[in-house]
Amino acid sequence: MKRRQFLQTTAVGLSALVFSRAPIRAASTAGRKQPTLVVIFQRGAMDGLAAVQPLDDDNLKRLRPRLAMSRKGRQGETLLQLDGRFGLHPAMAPLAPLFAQKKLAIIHGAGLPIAVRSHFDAQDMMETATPGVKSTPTGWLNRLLAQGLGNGGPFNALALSPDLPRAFHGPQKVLAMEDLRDLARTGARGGPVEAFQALYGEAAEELLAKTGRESLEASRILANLDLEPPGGIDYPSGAPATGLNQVARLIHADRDVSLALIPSGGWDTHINQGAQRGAFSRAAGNFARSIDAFWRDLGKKHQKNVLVLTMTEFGRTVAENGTNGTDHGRGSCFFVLGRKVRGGKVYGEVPKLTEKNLEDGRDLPVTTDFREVLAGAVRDHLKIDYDETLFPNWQGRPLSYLRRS
Amino acid sequence: MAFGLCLLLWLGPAGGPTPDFPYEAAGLDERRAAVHLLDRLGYGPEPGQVDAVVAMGLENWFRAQLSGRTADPALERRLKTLPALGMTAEEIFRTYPTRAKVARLAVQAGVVADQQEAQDQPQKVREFGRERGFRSPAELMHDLFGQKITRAVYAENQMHEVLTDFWFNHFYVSITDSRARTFVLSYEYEAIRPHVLGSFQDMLTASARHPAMLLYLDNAGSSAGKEAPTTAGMMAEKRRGKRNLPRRNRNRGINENYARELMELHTLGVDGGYTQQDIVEVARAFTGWTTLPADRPDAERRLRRARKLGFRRDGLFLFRADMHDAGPKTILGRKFKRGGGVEEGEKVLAMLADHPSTARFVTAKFARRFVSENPPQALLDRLAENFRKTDGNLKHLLVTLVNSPEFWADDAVDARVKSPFRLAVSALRAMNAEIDRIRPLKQWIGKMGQPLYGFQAPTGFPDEAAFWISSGNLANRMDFAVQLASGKIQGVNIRRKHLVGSLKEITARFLPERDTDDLQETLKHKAHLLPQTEGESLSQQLLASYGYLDEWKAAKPELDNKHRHAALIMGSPAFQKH
Repeated sequence: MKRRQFLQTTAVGLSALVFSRAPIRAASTAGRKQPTLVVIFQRGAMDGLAAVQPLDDDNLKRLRPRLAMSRKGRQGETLLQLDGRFGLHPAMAPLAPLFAQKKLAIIHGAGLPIAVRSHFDAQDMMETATPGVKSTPTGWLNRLLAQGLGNGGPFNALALSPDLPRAFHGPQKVLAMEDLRDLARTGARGGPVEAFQALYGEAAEELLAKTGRESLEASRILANLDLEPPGGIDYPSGAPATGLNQVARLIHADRDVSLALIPSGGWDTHINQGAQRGAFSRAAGNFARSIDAFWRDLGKKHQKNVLVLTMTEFGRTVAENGTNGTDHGRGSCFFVLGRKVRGGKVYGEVPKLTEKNLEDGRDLPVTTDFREVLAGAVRDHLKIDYDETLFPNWQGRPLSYLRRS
Repeated sequence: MAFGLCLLLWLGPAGGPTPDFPYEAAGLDERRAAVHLLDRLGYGPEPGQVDAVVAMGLENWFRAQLSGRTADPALERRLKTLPALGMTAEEIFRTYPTRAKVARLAVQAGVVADQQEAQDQPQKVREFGRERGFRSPAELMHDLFGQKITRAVYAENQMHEVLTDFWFNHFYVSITDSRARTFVLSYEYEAIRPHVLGSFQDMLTASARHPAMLLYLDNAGSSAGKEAPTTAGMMAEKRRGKRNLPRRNRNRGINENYARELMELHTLGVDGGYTQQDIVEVARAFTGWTTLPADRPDAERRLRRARKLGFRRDGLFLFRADMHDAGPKTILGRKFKRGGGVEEGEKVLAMLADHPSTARFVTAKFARRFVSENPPQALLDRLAENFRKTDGNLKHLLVTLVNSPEFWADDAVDARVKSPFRLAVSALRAMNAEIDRIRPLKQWIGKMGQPLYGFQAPTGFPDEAAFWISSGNLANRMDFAVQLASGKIQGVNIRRKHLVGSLKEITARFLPERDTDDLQETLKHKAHLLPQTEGESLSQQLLASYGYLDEWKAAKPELDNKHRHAALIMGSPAFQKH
């Protein structure tokens, strides 16, 4: 494009932007809609045994006199019935109907195949999907993009976090930003954006020119989207709700999103984890309400293209510690939510919690390699026939928790 | 030999022979070469600095930087406000305990009854901590970020800062690791900074023994397996016979982390010719390399006794002979006999520092940082050769680099994309900014994609354009430029008086000025970053983009055109490179 022509185009574009708040339609890709995978990473290690508690195991009550809850409450502590074997923490009540409608499944005893109990190492190894190897340069989501996922549009891969998470490290383009409203504000600055657009439009250096144009394009698109949640959908504040809402806004505006990675926090419950009330209950309530709001927000029209997958770096000790909490353990549980999920079911194995059944005599053993869960989503939801570069040195098979039709 | 002699003369006192840098042959004039030098071996020029370097001679500037002896009282004054800077690792460890530790001590002292009360009554714990003279870990982090930003922006010895940044990122440790975090500042001061113009092996050894590295890469917990003989066990046996052996080996086995990253990231490189078996054997050689439990009051006394069993202590470094696997080993083909102790790890470090793969791997990374992402093979060969011949002398490495034509070549000038840290620092320097508060800047640098010291992985920040430039953080860079120029970043002052001078320089360098008559100098040095359109001069093109200034003016009348002008320059594609 000649420079003059470019400037004229932007000038026209500008007046269009100034005078119209109508959403700009994305050039629609012919044929089927791009599937979206939303990964929520529960950083800090969620206690899977508090979230989804085995019902008829006295060992748990013995090892957790203050933390274990029962089916029918002493002091009003009531677990929500799932499948007869497990009860859901009451703070996660918004997820119970999704489980009953068979859209939500739980994979219990999921985690790293090797014993790593450092947050940093375990997150790292999950995000690179190379257990035991810390220095893998790329993250699994970036390698997934390299398998030909999505159309490369400005919102194809999103990390709703302040810096690029390890899972997205690598050469494929990712938009990383904690809150897209920051980018929208840049877009709304008008004068500077136009001036920068002209400068970047003319830069000879390809990477800067291309990315500069893309980021200004993204910022202008966002400046014209209403990024606030719609009325009637009660997202909680903070992460992961902010990110989930913004992903929903993009999907509703027909912007293609293939991957979104969103953090959720508050899970490192060494102190005052509590049962009905406490640190766990706060994190769990925020988490469940966020997912529920997102799902209702998507509505029938968009739910069919979206799979939500939650993961956490490890679980927590079966026994409670001296400060009404739990320490770093091994297996935890992952949630998957989608219209094609064969839900209403708890996958994986949770043995009786006797000392000999526990890993190192203390932790819920990992019975499902986390990669089986990820690979299931890649194969059956994103429909990517991945090669060996996605999960290096892994011979395992994807877990089948999605209908493949 | 002849080369060594030349170098010696070159490095000699001022007045000795000074070969000219080969920039003229590469087609650079002296001014442009000075900019390149300040951009590569420093964090970019301050107003007036290019003139000063040209006046003193580029070679003399470099020599002064190499000596590192330029007095810098202004910097010293600024750093005095950061109390953690004067402390040793041990003092920092004692002064900045974690919250959990203060709570524990408060329980011990009876200030609170138990952990539960410590949790419920945090003010009691805080009060207790203040009385003990403790400071919070957040204050330590403030000083860590503060010294990095302050030094980079204000240090006269710019080269030292740039090199410290490079080598820290090579022997990387991270504050994301809660155990290593306390030691990151002292690591930079004790293990990295003193060696950046010294010997590679010295730096490697200092990093291997520092608590930050021992904790970050888990070697501190790596021990002989249950069945393995330990150094202490064998010593005791020798001294006392079979009777009266120390209690049985309670060790849990090796951790391979450090051994792997030592070879993959610090020395040989991933294709450097080692096997998984070598990793295991190196890990065994480093078993027992751990940190002194500095808060154990009886540690000193116990250690005096333990010396006879092969224990060694140096500062916070502790060699625990009862954790060391004393079995025979074979590492990279070399045999280590049964019964070894702390010297095994030292030998391994020497072998690795001396290995030809290390020379190639380390110098190639150096060339990528200081020349371009794809440096010419001839340069790589020359640097690797130099590294081997000088036993990893890092001063010689730098001198060789700067005397190489490739350093000044057309495809090396402005070939690198600035990291967010460098972008911020170079902008602050160009604007002659006065920094009163660290935190807002630190947050901006993080927002642009570089949480300082906060990268998780032991690779350090991938120093590549493709990593730094993504659409989200590039928009943040432009936003940073606007906020900085408009005086909207808290704790950063840009005085109007200085702004005029700063603008003159960066305008001459990056964009032509149309507002004031005396700044009509056209773009000189970044011209090649912009395409030439037929029939239009470069300055005409840029003036066209300035058409938007009018709209901006209408939108933000409180700013004058100088601020807008500065924002445009610092957010421009040309300013993102160096």
